[in-house]
Amino acid sequence: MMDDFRATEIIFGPQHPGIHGNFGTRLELEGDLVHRARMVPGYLHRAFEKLMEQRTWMQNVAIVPRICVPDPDVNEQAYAMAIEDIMGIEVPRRADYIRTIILELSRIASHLMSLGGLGGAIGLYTMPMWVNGERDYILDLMEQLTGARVYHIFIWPGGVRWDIPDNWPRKVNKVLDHIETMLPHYYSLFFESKVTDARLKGLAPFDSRWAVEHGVTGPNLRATGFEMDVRRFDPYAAYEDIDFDVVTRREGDGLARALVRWNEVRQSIRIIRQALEDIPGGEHRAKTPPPLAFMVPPGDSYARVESSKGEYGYYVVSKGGKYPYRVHVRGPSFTHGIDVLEQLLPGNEISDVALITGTLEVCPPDIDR
Amino acid sequence: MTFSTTSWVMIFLTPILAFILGHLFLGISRKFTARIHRRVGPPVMQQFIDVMKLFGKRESTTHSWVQDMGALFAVIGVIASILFIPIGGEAVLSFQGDLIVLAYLLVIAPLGMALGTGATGNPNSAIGVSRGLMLMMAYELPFAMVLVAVMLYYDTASLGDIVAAQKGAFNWAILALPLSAIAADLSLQAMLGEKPFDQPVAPSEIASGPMVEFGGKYLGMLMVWHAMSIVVEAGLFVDLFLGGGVIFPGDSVLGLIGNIIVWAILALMMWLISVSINTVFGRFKMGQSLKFYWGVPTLLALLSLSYVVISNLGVI
Amino acid sequence: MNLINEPATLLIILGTGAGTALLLWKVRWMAALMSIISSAIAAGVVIHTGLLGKIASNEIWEFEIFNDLSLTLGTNWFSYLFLASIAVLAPLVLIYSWEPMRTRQKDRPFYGLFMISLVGAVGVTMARDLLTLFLFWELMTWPVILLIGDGRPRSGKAMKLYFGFGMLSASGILGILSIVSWSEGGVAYTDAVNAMADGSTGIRIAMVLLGAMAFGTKAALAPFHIWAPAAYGHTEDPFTAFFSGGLSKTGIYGAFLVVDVFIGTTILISYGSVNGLTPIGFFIAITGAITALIGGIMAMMQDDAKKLLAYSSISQLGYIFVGLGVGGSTATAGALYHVLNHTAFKAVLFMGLGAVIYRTGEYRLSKLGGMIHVMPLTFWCFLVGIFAAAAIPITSGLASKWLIYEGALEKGVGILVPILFLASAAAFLYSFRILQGGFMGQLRDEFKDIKEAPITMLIPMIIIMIALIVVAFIPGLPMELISRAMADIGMEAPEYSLISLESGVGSYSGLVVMLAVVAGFITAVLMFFSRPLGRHIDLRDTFTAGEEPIPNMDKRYHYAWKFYAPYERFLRPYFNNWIGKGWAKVYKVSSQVARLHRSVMNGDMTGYIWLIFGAMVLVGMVLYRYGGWF
Repeated sequence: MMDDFRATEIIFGPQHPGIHGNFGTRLELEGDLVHRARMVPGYLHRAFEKLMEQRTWMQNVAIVPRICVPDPDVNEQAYAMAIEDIMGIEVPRRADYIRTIILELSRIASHLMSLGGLGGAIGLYTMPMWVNGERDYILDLMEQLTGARVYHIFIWPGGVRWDIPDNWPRKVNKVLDHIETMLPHYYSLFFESKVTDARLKGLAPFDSRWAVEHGVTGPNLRATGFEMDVRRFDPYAAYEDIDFDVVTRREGDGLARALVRWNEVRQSIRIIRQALEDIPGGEHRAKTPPPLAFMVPPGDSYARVESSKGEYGYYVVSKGGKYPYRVHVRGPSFTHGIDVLEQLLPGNEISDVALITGTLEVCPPDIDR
Repeated sequence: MTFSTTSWVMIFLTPILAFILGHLFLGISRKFTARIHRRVGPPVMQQFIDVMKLFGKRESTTHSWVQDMGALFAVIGVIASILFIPIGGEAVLSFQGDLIVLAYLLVIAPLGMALGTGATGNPNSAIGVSRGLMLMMAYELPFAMVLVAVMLYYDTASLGDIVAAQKGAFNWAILALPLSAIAADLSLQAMLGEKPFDQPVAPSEIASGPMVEFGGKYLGMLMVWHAMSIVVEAGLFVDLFLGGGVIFPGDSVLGLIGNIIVWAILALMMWLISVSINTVFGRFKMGQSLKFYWGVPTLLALLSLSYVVISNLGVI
Repeated sequence: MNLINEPATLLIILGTGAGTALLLWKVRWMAALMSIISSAIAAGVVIHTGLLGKIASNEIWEFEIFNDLSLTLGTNWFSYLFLASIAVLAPLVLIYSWEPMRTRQKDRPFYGLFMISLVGAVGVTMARDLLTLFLFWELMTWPVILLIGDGRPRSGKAMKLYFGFGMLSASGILGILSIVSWSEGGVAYTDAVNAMADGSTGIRIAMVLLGAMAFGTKAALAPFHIWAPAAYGHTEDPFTAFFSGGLSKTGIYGAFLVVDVFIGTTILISYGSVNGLTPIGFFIAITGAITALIGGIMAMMQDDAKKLLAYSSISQLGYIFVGLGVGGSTATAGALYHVLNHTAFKAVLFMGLGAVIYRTGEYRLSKLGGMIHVMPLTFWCFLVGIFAAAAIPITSGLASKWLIYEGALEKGVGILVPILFLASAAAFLYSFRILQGGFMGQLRDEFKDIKEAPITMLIPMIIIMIALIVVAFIPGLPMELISRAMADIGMEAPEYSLISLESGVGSYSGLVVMLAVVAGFITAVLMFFSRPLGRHIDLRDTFTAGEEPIPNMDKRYHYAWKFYAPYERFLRPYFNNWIGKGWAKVYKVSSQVARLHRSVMNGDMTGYIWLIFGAMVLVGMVLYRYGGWF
């Protein structure tokens, strides 16, 4: 604690234009430098993990996507993978491909939104307006496929709910073409700007060692040069059949984190194109018990996937019966948003607080769960 | 000190004109920005509606009497300074107080607003105000050099005389002192508080800074100040470098009205240039904007100033 | 009143006061009363004489002390300007001191020391020869040293600094004295003028440098300024107003004396000039501008409010040096105008701050805050003072700076004006810092119940505040005095009327500017009061981003520490007291010389022999060079 007279305490969130969602930071400032930061999560605590113990296995499919709003499908995927593992269900190949397409579309949407958020954090409001426009096309695609825009509830244990419509791949390609033609404009708007350089370069850097020690995953870890991607090293869905690069950068600063996300958007487009082309025929869903009588035999499993924010894990324990015994969610933002931020913020200017939170892509609901 | 009838009319009309133009400019810029954002945007008259709504609020809150005073000071300062800016070649009061007086008059409003916001006791406001003042110190150096270059070039400190001296075809100062004009336009960006120099109100950093405790008619006063100060600052640039918009002979009423329209269009143009820069740039940090302003713009202004000083000495 | 004896009358009145105050210093109220009465009478005499216009410029009054040694006194309009600003300020500050001094300073004769230094300052402006000047100068300088130690940490260092620079200043005057008496055989001002007229370039330059050393030190001209923040920061609060507002003006007076009287425009111009700007003038002006900038930027970084105002004082005096250096009618008038302005507003600033310190006992901005809620009248006075310091047009502050700017523009000095503009931007920054830190923001719980400043402290502040505002309407009023003063140093005042000032390049009509402000005021008031007044809410009832308020909110929600942190980080390396470090080096070298001296004077015979031998060689060389004896 600093001397009361020298310290200024700024309450940064939850009702603050600079904060990403429903959590807050209490900043102890000396001048304009953060001297100590304390994260105040909990505003979105809805006890999902506890709630899931009182809902049936299939009801929970509707709860899990709410754990991360911008990138909800990874939750469904991880949850489904864990159950499939316990039950020993073999997912049809076609379902794997459909899942891959959905996950990557969701990743593009999430990355675009977070880059827009970075634009908003430095006051470049054109960026969020533009990229969220593109995100909207993806949400339209999702709506056509799943009937919902944000919480799709589409990936079930055993496969996906229904097969893709006939004209859908064409529409996906059209949207991807459009995004691909627009990306260079957004790149020049955001990354080629001197201001972005001045703001992001060298912002809150950390190296791989520090990152691993503090549980940093996903794009934030890859920005330090650590080539870690669950899709590559523990492939799920159709990723083992698909050719893509793991995007890394060396610098480990804010700019590197933003650029990793930027390049992943291109990789995701590449993955979706391949998946649409190679998608095999057959069933979209394995044979599973009917939803009302969905029982899982005793056992436990941990499933992990690569979300746009980092590594997402679900540890599911079943004692048999209609309800899960325990579902534990390992969200990437828990480490990014609490420990890492508390360590990174001190020493930075107050101008950078929102920006650092943005480059780490903290998603408050998955802290609170 | 004798005023003609036109002058008297102008003295009364100028604040009203600035009020209307300012809100119109803001409305146009909101539409303009929205189109760049691929939005539809609010109607052009939205700014008037907003101000009316704010003044129409049944209740507003204040933390102390100094907050009331600050809101008053902001409007007082901007009305006092608009009277010293020639509009369409009509000097209004600019022979009663020259550029130096104007430079200090321009400060009343921000300082008043700073007083009002400081009195609210919110640290976000205080940080915002400190940033605003620091920004002022950053752009003051190139802008002062620009002012001095123009004043030495025309050998007068009176803005009315500077406008008069630019009368005629291709006589604008922007052609005579292009580097100064560039430096002035760069300074204008910070004066107008547009990105990359909008640190004083940065919403994502300090929750809109100075305005954070203002609501109702207090915010309405600040919005009136903001709108009118756009006219003052863009108009100052027009008067300094774009001949004050004088195109028609100003001795007839019709010519004067024509000149005022040209002046307003030029000022709008300067404002829209600033707004379009605003839409494609992020925000610098405080130290970065100081480095920026004490770098290139100062160098440009200094080059131009030394050119004027040396040519005044008769060497060139 | 006998005009010839008038200077003596003044000194006798003040001297009586000083003597009584010194003798009766244990009876505090008696000492206070005597000094207030005597200084008020003296101020009355000064104002009366000035209003009657009975300043006899050429009368000189001699007072023989003993054989051959006499004091010569006299006044002309030029010295009257300084005399008046000091003598009128003194009773105001003394009245102001009544309340704060009632409880403090039981261990030393505050009023006596104050009065002695007042006598010295008045004597300096009235001296008509260099020896008298020197004597009064020392009389003015040394009592202050006893008022510097205020018991705060580092006040001992401040005392030492003041002592060291006081010595520097004294030796500067002695240097001038010896130059003049050596070349002319007399020490009167006329001798000094002759010495400069006859003297070589080297002597003239020596005169300028010694003048800078002697008077620049007092007026805190860079690089002689480093004593000022320390000393102003550590004097007794009531005295600081007089110290900075009044006593520093004697330094300005001396500088004018050297440049405009002893050397004079004719000699300055003989070294060539551009648009009437001379090399020496440019040198002084650029030093002044740099002083203004350094002062402003250093002021902006202070948390100690008294030091902030001290640096601001340095900055403002820098403007005066710019006016002096640029020369010519407009800039000189501006400099003299600024003397009057600075006296007034710096006094009111230190008084206002002193009132806050008196009530709260706190002088650090980070520990103050919210004084508008408990000391509104003090705030008003302080605000007007700040406006004047920042040259906001609704006070008289603009007129003087405007004249200085216009003077520089007339001479086409392109580089000076931007530096001054930057310094004035720094002035806005430090002005706001002290307002924000001291008067605005959160009010500490401990200070919730403090009262407005006592009436005896308010009255002097309000008088000065009203003067500052009234003069804004009629900026030509002080020009009456300034034009006469300029006539006495052989210059022509710029054109002016009661309500407006004219320069070669522009004009400033105070009345019209104020009427425009009033028009804005009426419009704004109509706009503002068209709707019901806002509901008053508590200071803690404020935006906390949706969180509950924090504990210790009165302290932790007050942003004053490192108020301009980004600039401090950027500018610190460039302004990190390198001048102070340079002086520390000088101090080190001189103490080494002293050590050398001590090592010679240690009773060992060899040392003395070497010393005598060295001295003989030196004398021989001098004789060889100048005497042609060998």
